[in-house]
Amino acid sequence: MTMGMERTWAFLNASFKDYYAKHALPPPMGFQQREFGFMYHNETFFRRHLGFPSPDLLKLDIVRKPPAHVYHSAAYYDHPSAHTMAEKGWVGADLIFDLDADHLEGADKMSYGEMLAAVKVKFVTLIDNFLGDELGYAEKDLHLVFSGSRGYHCHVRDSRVRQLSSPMRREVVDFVTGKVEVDEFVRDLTVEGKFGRPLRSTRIPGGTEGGWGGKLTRATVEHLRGIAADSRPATEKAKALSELTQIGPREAKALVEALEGSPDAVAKRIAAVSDGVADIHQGVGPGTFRHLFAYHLNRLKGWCDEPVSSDVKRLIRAPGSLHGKTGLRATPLTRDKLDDFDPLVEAVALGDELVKVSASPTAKPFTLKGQEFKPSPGPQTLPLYAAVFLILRRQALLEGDTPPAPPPLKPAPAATGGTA
Amino acid sequence: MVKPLELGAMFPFLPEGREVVKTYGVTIEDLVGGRSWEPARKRGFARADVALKGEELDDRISTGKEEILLDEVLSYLYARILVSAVNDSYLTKKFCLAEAKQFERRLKRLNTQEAGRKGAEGSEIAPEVRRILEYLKVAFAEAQDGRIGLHFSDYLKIAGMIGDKNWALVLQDVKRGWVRLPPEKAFRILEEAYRFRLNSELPMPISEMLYERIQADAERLAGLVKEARARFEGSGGVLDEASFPPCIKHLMEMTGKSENVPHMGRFTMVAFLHTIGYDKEGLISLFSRWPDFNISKSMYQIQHIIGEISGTQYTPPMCSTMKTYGICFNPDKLCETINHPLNYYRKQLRRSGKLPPPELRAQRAADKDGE
Repeated sequence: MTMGMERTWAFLNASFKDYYAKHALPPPMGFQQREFGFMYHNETFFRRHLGFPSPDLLKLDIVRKPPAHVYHSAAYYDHPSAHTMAEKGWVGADLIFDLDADHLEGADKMSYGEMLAAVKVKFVTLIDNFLGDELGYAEKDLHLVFSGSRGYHCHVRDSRVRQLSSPMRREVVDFVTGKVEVDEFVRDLTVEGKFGRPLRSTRIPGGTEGGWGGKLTRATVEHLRGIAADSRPATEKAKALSELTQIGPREAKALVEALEGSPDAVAKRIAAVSDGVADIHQGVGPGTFRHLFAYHLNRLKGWCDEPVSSDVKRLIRAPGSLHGKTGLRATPLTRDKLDDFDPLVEAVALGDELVKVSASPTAKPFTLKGQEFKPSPGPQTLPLYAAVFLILRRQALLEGDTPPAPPPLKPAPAATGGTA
Repeated sequence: MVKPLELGAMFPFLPEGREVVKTYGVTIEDLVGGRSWEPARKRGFARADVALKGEELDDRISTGKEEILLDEVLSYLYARILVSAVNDSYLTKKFCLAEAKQFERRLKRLNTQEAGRKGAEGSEIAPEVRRILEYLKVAFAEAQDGRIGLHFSDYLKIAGMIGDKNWALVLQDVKRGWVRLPPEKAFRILEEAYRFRLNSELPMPISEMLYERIQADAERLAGLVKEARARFEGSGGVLDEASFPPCIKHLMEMTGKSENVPHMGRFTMVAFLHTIGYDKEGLISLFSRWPDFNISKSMYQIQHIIGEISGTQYTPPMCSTMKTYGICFNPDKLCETINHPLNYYRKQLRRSGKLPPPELRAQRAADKDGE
């Protein structure tokens, strides 16, 4: 038995090389203006500031020495291979959204599959609701990608957003993530009442408005309709409302009261709210709507990784490349495909020829291509894609290799220096 | 519809303006020397002079008199020539600002007129406003209730220059890519776009021959610029730690206690202090309190930030960036009204009377440099 891991590294390189020899990366729009960056198996060096005149030359480089990670810049440069920003000549950048399950609330308690499913739900909301309905993007402007590991990327390739500076991109992120005080939408006005007497009036945005204002009003209107249709006793409804939205008990009671009684009167009150005039009952005031809005804002807000979106120089994983921590393909997707997309089946890109590996005692069960693997410590045979997955997760070596002792393998260096 | 001559007078940068000049057969030669264009030149000089003082020019367009309208077009051209000839960044900035303000006032008036003419039906964008949107290359769409939809990308680019939280995208009515604004808000955005556009056109190249013809006026204007600059700069460069924003105060305190200030915090402090007038030596002596102070390394960092190495002088990041990096400490009431630590400082100085309230407009123009 030889000492070391040379054979394992050679195996990974050969597997990746084989993949890249058969699959050319789809060249991103503006190929010659993109900076590329590579990281290799068992090397900490980040080789970046690369520019390629043609996709063929990129392929040549990748096949000659297959990288563990392939990135390209979100940005377009006059001279992508220059080493300083001044020399590179920034021309513009795609707007990128990165949703990473690691940042998901409660991710530590989820399995890999559960995490991926949860992050997909957020991704769909981002695409359909925020980028589609609100920012007006059609499918052709949006390039959707499963990252090959824990998340999804969306590249907005629209010439109109290419010039946006970092603070402007942050505003887009704030818009998506609903970073706003609800007080901004609930106003307590003094209006002229009957006989010119001043009246206090609570105003909210009209339900037909776009953006967060209209969205919160519509959500609130739906909510009120639900309360009106709820057949439970008023006291019970008020208690539930108070618990759900933190509205004080007295205000909750007043709001529920406003939604009881003649259906016509209730419909009128709800219509007034929808029109933005929110004083519908004694005891219902701006505070009531602030609570309702805060509750719905929290429920409806989108989610993405802010630093990725606001960085105009970031490198992003190249769609179509293999992820160096899983061996799964960063898979380009259409919106249609996304609904039924199962990353743990469809992002599997390597073959299924059998490989002998030796699993470490830390090896955990996993599912790929619908098959559950329960690696037990020691030698065993796995299909290539599963072997590579386990090895890249630092839970196995090629059979016959030994981990350097001690410590066992360090996790691969995180792709620092601005990558997503 | 507004008559072409009137439209040209209101918005002389539109093709109608050029058309007017052509129709009346006025050449540059005539404009700078012709006896009959003396009033236009006077008016042009006044345009620049008033801008410098941060005042408003009386609007004569409503008189509707042909010669006054024609002078209005020509005075704009003459003012551009003068401002270009003086070629002073302060003057150019103030001129663009004043012209943009006037542009906005005219847009508003035009809109009221048009709405009055069309009555209750008047919900679509007036054709003149369309022309202006096209000229400014702002993507727009009709929105209901007379509102104007601006593409969110254009909106962000322009609203960012205003630098006020009320313009944040997250507060706007956005649907299918359009930020839908009531006319008066849209006009404020267009004002900014116009200011930017005009600023990018000035100064124009002025030939020696042309310069000779306008030398007297140009020199007189340059003299006024010199005085105005002295007034303005006399109020700048105030160093007053009490007026620092809470984030900078906190970072200074950390430094004072030799706590380790995160990199972004150091960057912010250096950029902030440098912008308000600390010199390199002052910065070095302050930062010698950092626990890991290393003269050559710190010197390099400082030189880099203040532009001695790359030529780029950095200003501190905006509040939103600082929040992202977790270096926005103890924001107070004033913080709610600003989006940049330098604005906090200026406002606070003005409040405490340490910065004599100069023309607010000049400040706003100067703020543009700081962001």
